[in-house]
Amino acid sequence: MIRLTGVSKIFETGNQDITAVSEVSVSIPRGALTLLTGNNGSGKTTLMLLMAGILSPDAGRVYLDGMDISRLPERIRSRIRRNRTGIIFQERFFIRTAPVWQNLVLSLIPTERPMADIRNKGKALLRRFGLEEKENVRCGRLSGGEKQRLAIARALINDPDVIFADEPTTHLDHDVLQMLTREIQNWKTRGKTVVIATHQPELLNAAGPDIRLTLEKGRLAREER
Amino acid sequence: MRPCRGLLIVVLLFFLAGLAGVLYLGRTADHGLRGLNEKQRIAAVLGLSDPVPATEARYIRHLSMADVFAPFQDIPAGFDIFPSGSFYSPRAVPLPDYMERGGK
Amino acid sequence: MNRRLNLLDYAAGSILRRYSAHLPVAAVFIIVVFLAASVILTLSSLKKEAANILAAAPELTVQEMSGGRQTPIAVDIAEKIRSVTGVESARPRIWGYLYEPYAGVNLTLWGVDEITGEKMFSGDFSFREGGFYKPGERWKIVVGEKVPQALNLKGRKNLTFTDGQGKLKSFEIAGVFSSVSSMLTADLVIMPEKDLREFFHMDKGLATDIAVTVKNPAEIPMAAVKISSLCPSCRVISRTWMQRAYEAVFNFRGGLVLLLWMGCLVSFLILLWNKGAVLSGLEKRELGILKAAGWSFEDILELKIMEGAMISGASFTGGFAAACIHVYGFDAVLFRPVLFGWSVLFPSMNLVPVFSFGPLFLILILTVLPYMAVSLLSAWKSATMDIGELIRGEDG
Repeated sequence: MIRLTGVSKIFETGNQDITAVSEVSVSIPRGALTLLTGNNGSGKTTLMLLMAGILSPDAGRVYLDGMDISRLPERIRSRIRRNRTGIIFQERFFIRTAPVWQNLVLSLIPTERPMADIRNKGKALLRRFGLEEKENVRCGRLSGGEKQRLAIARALINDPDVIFADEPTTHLDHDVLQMLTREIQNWKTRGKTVVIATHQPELLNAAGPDIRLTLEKGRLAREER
Repeated sequence: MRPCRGLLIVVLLFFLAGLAGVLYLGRTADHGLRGLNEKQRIAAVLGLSDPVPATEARYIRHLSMADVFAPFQDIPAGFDIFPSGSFYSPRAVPLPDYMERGGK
Repeated sequence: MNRRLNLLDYAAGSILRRYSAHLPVAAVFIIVVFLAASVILTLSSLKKEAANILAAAPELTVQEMSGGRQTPIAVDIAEKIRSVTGVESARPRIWGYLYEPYAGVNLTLWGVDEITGEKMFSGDFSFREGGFYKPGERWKIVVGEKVPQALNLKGRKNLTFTDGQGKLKSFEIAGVFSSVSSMLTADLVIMPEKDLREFFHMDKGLATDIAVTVKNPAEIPMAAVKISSLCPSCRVISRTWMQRAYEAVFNFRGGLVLLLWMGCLVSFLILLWNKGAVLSGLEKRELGILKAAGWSFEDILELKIMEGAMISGASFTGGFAAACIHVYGFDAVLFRPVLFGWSVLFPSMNLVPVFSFGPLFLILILTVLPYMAVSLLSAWKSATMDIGELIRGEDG
């Protein structure tokens, strides 16, 4: 379960402070599919990164299963990121010069699993997403669609309980969209909590969202359950 | 490039470099040690007292000939100020004709 | 353990991936290690070489002085010296220099008496060509490895030297020493004593100097004092002085080179500092990605330490190996003018590897340590950076 109480985040850019998220309180039950919508710049990505424990709030608290992750030391938060959450980032969030398989298994590298195991796990995921032939290709050489698929695969490498996605539908062709929808439904049936930030919520209606949160200028404008 | 292989290549290169170094040093060391022995024997038989790191400069070639004081020790035109005199040949300064004796 | 291996693997991959970013620093690193190691290896080998040769050299050399200058010494004095306690032998030596104006080279002419000639002829010495002349043969010479080349003989066996009266004397080369003994024989021209006397126009009763051997090292100073009182006009030079003088010359020159090297080292450190102080955008993003994937501060720090250790280890080994090849394979050709001064003939050195760990350890500390410090510093900086800062621009 994810619970936010009065969460705010302010970015300092040059001489002007931008309030990206302002006093958001919300709670998302375990196993729910949540869509975070809003216009560009409404703060949905920031809110998602706050929930994932990647950003720390300037005010308020973020709880994951009752743990106050906004107050936890970085060392424990990184362990949570590695073991419990998976994040589907936008496509440019890859190490471009590294091969596909390495980008996929990044979060498993600093663990006690042997490399052969890690690579097998990576291979299985690549097969599932139709990328097995691209295993040793550099990430920079992938097409947009392939990168999107790799981004989804990467979020699943550690078998997370909670999956976050940042605009997974941008530049997605029809086939991949269908695949994503199927994946999301699959996650739901397996009881995973899913949070998706998107400005095209209509594309994901088929997945059957439980909660829709609409943000406007960093504030929670509407909450539909 | 698979970094698994990359690591292997790096380790292998280190190993090969080390091995080559050891073999090479072993060979030259053997050669050199034979040389050391040989030089000692020649020095003993001939009664030689000075090694030849360089040939012309007396401060290094024939130390056994050294004077405690040394004005104009090598040649009148030599730079007799220590560091420069030891880096530059006095032939950088033209010698008088009678000293050149037909040589250039 | 597996975690370490995985990180090591990732580090190696990341270095190979971004070799172009590491190459300039590694190149400078290699050069810095190469320069210092070359000097240190050359010097320690040379000191060993000098000590080795001097170990077989006569303990004392007695010279006649006249008007503050060295002049020929009376052979009779050798007889008196032999009577001094502790003295094992006293050999009058005939030798001198010959400046060959056409080649511009200074040769050392060395006279050999019949007994010594016999020993040289029957002894097992290595020659590049020919061998020692037969005892009793006249106007034959044995020359050092570099002499034929310096005189531009091109395989000719006969050559002439002009003596002190302007007359030409011709000699035949019986043998050329091999490069193995070059450090001792490079500029020597060895000939029978009789011929050298004639060539130098030196009287029978005179010699250039007297080489004295003393078996017991404890008796050397006493013998030296006694010889100088026996012959007040003589100067007695001891082997230990020469040994010290060689050490001083080599240390001074090595110090001069190392002084210049310090400048190199400082620029290397500035380069490192520059590189460490500024993280490129690409590096920042990569670290952001790693952190987002759940790498902890320790993981990133460890990764950067491994990267630094691999690069500095490889550069140090590379520089050191290059220095070994330079010194032992190519006779330290780059440093000869500085280490030995100018010279017309440079002997082949065939230096024997001598490893003194002190100086090498010093180079290691002066280069690897700052490198590791700087890579740690930059790793620390980036590992403590907020992910938000590292992936800035991702926010919608």
